[in-house]
Amino acid sequence: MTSTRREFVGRLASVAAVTAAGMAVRPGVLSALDRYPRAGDPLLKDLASKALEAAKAAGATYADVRFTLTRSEEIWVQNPAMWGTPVNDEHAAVGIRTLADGAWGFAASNLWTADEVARLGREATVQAKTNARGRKRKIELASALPASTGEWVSPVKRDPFSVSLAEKLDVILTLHNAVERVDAPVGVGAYTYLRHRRQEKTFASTDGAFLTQTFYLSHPYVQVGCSEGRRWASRTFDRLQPDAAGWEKWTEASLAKDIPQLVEEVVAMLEGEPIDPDRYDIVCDGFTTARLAGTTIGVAAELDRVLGYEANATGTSYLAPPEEMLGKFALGPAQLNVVANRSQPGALATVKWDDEGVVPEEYAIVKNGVLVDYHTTRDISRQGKSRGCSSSDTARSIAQLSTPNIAMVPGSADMSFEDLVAGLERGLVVVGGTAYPGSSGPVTTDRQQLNGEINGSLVYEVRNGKRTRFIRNSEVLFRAPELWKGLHAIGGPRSQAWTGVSVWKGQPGQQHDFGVSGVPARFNRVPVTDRSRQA
Amino acid sequence: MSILQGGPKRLIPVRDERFLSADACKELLARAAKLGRGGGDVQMSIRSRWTGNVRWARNEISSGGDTTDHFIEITRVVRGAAGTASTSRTDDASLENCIRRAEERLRYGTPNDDATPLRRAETYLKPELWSDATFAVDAAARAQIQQQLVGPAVAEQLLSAGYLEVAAIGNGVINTGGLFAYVPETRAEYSVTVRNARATGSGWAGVAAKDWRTIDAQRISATALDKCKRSADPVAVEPGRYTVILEPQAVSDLMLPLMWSLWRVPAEMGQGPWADGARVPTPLMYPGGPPLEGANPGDAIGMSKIGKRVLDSRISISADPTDPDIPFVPFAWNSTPMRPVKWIEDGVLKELSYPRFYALSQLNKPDPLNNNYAFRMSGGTTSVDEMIKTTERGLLITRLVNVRQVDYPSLLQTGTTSDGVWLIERGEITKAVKNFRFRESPLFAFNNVDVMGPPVRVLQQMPTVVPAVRVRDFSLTSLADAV
Repeated sequence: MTSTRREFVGRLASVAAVTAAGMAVRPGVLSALDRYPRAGDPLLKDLASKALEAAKAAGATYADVRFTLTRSEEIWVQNPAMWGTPVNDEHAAVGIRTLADGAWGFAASNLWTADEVARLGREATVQAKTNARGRKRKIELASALPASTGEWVSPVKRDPFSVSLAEKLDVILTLHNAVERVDAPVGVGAYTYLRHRRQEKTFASTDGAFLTQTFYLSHPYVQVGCSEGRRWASRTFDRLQPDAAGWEKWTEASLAKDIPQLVEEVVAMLEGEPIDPDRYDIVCDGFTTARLAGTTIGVAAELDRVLGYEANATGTSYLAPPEEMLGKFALGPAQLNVVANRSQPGALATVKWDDEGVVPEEYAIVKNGVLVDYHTTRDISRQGKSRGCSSSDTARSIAQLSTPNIAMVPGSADMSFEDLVAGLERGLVVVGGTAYPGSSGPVTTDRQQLNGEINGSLVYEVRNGKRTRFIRNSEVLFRAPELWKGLHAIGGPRSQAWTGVSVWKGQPGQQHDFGVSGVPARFNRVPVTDRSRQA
Repeated sequence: MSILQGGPKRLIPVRDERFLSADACKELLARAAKLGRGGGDVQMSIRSRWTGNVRWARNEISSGGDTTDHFIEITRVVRGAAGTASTSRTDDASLENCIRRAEERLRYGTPNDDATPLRRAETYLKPELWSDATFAVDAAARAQIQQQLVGPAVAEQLLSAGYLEVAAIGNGVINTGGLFAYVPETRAEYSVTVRNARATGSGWAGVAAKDWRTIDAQRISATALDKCKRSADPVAVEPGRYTVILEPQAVSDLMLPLMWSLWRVPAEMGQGPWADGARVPTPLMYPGGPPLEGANPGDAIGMSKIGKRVLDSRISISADPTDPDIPFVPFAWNSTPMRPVKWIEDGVLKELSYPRFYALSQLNKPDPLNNNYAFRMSGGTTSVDEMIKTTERGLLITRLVNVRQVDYPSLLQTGTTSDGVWLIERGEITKAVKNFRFRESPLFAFNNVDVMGPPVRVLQQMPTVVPAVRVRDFSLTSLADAV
């Protein structure tokens, strides 16, 4: 050890002591400082009406206003001396969208004052009238709404922002310690990246709506890894998936019982062998199938994408044009049924009202294998109806169409993941793992959601229902309609798994999150390649 | 316009300003300084951004507006410990809340505090980052530009979708130790996608610049339209190894992951593409993850590839805040300077970025080497047309999208081609071909360079100048027939 390194290690030790001393911080110390108007506060109602009145006075035929107050936190942890909090943010915004002369205008800022919201109302209307010069067809809003007021809070047991950093670090480090203590032939460690968000959103419109909602996001990512020589392998705690939960997710998950199997898998994965590129029958776990459905059906069925409104940003959709697709396009076999909703408890797109004040209903997207509907909003609608899919990441962004929660309907037989694996004569099992916060996760697609690939966190070969060897660097390639047509068997109701998907959309870009459920599924004759090999 | 002399002058909170001025930043610090508890210092890093945009699709404006958004990061430094939190609001209650959150955080300390010790004075470079012309592009101007430029697409019964954004940003770093710097900055970007009604052809073009006047929006619109027409009804060509001409946008799409990987600490830990000599893996490696966040510099016992040739010897990659083509703010969020750097010179790796705690503890230097991913790549003199004429058989590629890393040590990337791929045979473009999935590393591709064109500005989040490049043996692994 060089002297420089000794000094450095010494510094680490002293800082670790500071860290330990800091654990005494009282939890909830910040809550007394919360001073923004909360849900239903008369001040917000007053500001909202001033904004809307200013927009109407300036000539808007319709206007809506959003206030968002967003707390965000991100924490990464490796060990007691190596961790950080790259994000500890509070963001307040107000945004006003107006319709004038048949075009949208938008204005937003951070300041919640009467003068400012009135200015934004006028400014947005000027923008709308100006933008109308660039339109021949006037925007018309579907689903005229009755006036409504209300409040809704996404149910969580423990608000993550009421939990001290000390407690969070303690829970995470205890888990890491448990991983490191497992008796394994090679060193095993853990790494955690955690994202929390709480958003209070108030919406009011010239239709008479005044609605306040509070949403939560919890996205934990815990990786267990090991290395030997130049080989390394890692797995994630798959039961930790992104959803609309609070801190109870960590305390109620009983993660310790997963550790022995995870460590066993990750050590065995060191001996993983390369894949022989070929077509294989594959069994995907429920989380992976959920992500496949989320992107290739959920995102692909966004009507604005289908119509080309997203062409210059994140792309279009293979489920186009509507007249050739709806009720006609057989995406998969009759057992493929997919519904959309914004009501699933704990799912990331769950709301009581969407960003236009519409109460979303459940609807079918794929029925008996056939595409039957698209996601819609009041301005991008079908048959004069919005499905309630409007959303905005914060009030600084204009509301846009986004994917609601997507649920693959389980099969009627009580088939489990293990049953599907047991039925595989020769094939591969693909377990997707948890997506790193901000990443697309194990399933990625092209700009039409048509072609994509699955990069499993855990992949193994099966012969006659038994695991024979772990596979390294495999990549499942798919073309969505062919993949779904090859759907051979799906899991039953008890095998349903919910996760969350984050997607970027729009210009300027916004991140939208939605919940998605899947069941374990077997797909036949899917091409699998070695992702480390070039052409 | 007074903005030229350093931004709007009035104090906050006021609302006819589009972004916070230098005086507003000073006033913010003065108020924040009074709100701290337990002595020590307050440092603020401010990014106050006004944007105006117009977005269109199917030849019609679909949305557009003006937004002001502040990002105010406050660091409390007390007895050598630092804690950071951020807010978007400038009122006393919000500042106080932010400071309390930062103070809660500082009690825990971490070994990698990049904020301490506080810098009390700093001399930064003075790049020219402001354009009055950009700041003057208002809603009316944006709508007018859109109307003029979708005309040709309408006339040819094609569908234009596009985006024009102008931004003005007040960037400030200020602390109670006496440091103050404020740089107003403008940005403009313009991009267009033209598709045919049958969705069998798609063309894209786009660029970013400081000064809106340097963006030739008419040429970009025409390029997208031309690519749409010429890319229509593509045929499938067998995947495999091809000589490819990567247009500048595609070069930047493939080079960007290399820019993201230029980290010294992981390299010296034996991780990633820039590690050399004996590799000593730590228990955890995070391919594709944030490379520094698992890094313990105490483990830095390996060697990096600094001093070794890593790319074709004609390639140099540099970044300089005062480069007139890619100017950028001369300080980082933590007030440390952005200095000119040659990452790669004549193909030889010269530098890898490192954070401040590494500079202090390992190099006995006060400053980190920051990398904000703005870069200039050297080029040659061969135009794309000349490259086509001298290609016996190959492909012309417009851009690469959904680029994703599959292997960290080799920087192997995958993704798809998009918005125009053409087959070249005997010096001529002979047909439009379907998109491919590629699997390629910038380390391989830019060691297989044949000829290069003149470097030009492209559309990336940070200022980027790269040439078109003809590359041998580019790996296209399968068809990805989306349009």
